[in-house]
Amino acid sequence: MTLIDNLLQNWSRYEIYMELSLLAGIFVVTIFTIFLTTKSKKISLLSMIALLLTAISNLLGIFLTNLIFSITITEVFRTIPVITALLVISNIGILVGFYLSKKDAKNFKIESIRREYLSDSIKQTVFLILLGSSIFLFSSVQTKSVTSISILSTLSSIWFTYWISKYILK
Amino acid sequence: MKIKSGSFNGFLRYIFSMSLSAAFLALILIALPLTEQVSSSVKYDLVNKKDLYWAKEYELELKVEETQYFDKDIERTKSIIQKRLRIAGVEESSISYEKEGETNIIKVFVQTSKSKYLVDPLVKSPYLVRIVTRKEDFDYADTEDVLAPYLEENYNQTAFTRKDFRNVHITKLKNSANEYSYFAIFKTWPWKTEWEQFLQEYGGLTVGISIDGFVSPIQIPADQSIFAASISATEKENADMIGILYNSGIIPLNYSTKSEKEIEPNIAQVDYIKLTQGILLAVVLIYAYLLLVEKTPNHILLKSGLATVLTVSAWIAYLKISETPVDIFLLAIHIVTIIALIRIITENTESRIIVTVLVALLASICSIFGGGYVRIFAYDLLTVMIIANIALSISIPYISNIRKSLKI
Repeated sequence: MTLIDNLLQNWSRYEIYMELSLLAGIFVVTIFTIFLTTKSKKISLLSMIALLLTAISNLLGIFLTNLIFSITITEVFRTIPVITALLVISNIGILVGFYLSKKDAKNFKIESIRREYLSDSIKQTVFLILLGSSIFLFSSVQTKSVTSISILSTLSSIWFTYWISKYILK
Repeated sequence: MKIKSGSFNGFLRYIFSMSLSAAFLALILIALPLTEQVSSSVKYDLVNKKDLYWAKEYELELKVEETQYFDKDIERTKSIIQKRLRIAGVEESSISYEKEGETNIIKVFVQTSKSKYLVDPLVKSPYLVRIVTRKEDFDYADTEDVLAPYLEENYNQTAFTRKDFRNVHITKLKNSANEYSYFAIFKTWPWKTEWEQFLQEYGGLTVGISIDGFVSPIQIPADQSIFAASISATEKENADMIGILYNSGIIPLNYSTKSEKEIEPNIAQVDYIKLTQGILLAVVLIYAYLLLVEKTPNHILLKSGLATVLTVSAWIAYLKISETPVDIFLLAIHIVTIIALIRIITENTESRIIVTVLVALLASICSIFGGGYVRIFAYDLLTVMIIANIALSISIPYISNIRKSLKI
C-alpha cells in the first residue's frame, strides 16, 4: 500500500494519465499491428495475453522488490514496463514472423508454430539469463533491480504464453 | 595493357573489404573503454552524465483562499509544473501537496542533468500573464523611481490573460536595431474580436505584458499586424524554456517559493569498464552456447555477431565523438536490449520486418507519452534500431566479400 499511496501522492494527475496512455498505447498499437499483419484472432489473443501477463508480472516484480528487499522505487523503475514490453514484443514478433512465412504453405497447421516458438523461447531465455548476469555482476542495486525485474517478467510472460498457446493455437 | 575484368573486380572487392575492415576496426577501437588513452591528440572519452546531475527540493507556498475549486486548482498546478518539467526533459521529478498549519505547500523534487538556470523558473514561476495598459497620469520616465515602469500596480489591468490566446509562439524576429532576437508572438482565437478591437485602440501605443507582476513594455505596431513581446533570451534553450512556460497550461493559483534545498543526487552507478568486460564475456558465452548446444549455423552466428559488434561500437563511438553525456546504467540496459534484438532479427529473418516495426512503434509511443528516462531510452532505441538494421545489411555483403577475397 505504501507504494501505491506514494504513487498517488507524489504523482500529479497529468503524470498518471501520461503513464496510462503510454501503457495503453503500447498495448493497443501492438495488438492492432499484429492483427493487421496476421489477420488471425488466435495470434492476436495470444499477444494480448502475453502483454497483460507482462503488466501483471511487472507490477508484482516491483511490489516484491520494494517489499522484500526494501529497495526504493525510483524513476528508473519506470523503464521496466518498456524494456519488458520490448523483449516480449520481440518474442511475439518471432511467432508472428514465422506464422506469416508459413501460413500460405501446403498442409500448414497453426499448432506447428508452437514447436518453432518453443525453440526460440528457449534460446531467448538462455540469452537473457546470460546477458542479465553480465550486468548483474557490475552494476548498482537500482540497475540490478531494473534488469532482474525486466528479465524475470519477460521470461515468466514468455513461458506462460507458451503454456497457454497450447489451448489457443489449436 | 588489358586488365581482366574478373581480377579487376576482385581487386575492387579487396579494396572495399579492406576499407570497411579498417572503418570497423576504428569504430571498435573508439568504442572500447580506455582507448581514449591511446591518442593524446583526440579525445575519445565517454562523457558520463552523473557529474552533471543535481537535485533540489522546492517548497512553494500557495497564495490563495480555500474555495470549492481549491483541490482541483492544486491538482492542476501540480500537473502543469510536472508537464513543464517533462517537456524540458527533466529526468526525475515528483510533486506532493501538504498543509502546514494555515500554510498550503506544494513540494517539488527535481533530479536532473539539465541546467539549473533553465529548470528553476519552470518550478518557481507560476507565469501568470496579463495584458496591461499605461495609466494616463503616471510618469513612467521618472528617474527617481526606476522600477516604476516594471510594476503591475502602476498599470491599468485589462481583461486579457494567457487564456485569451491559443498559443504563444517563440521565434526570432528583427528588432529595432535591425538584429535578430527572440520574441513571443501571441496568437489569438479567430473568433476573439475583442482582441482585434484592443489592438486597433492601442495601435502605435505602448502597452505592457505583466508576468507574475513584472511588466515588460510592448509597442503595438501602427498597422496592428502582430503582438510580439521581446523576451530576455539570447540562447535557444532559454527561448525554449520561455516557450514551455507560456504553453504548458495556465496555473490557476499564485504561489511563491518558500524554500529551496539542494540535496545529494541519487544516481545509479555502473562501472563502465567492468560492465564492458561483463557484456563481452556474456556475448562470448551466448555465442558458444548457440554454436555448441543449439547448433546454430556458423553463417548466422557470424552475421549476428558482426552486426552486434558494429551496432554497439557505432553507437558508443558516436556518443564518444559527439561528446553526448550518457547515463551509463541506461547505456547498459540499451546494449542488453539491442544485443537481444539483433540476435532475434538475424536468426529469424522472416520476423525481421515485424519485429523492427513493432519495436519502432513502441519506441515512438514511448517518445510521445514517456517522460524522463523512458523518453531518453526510447529516442536512443529508435536510433540504435536504425543503426542495427544498417549494420545487418552491411554485414551480409561484407562477410561474403571477405570470404571471396580470402577464398574461404
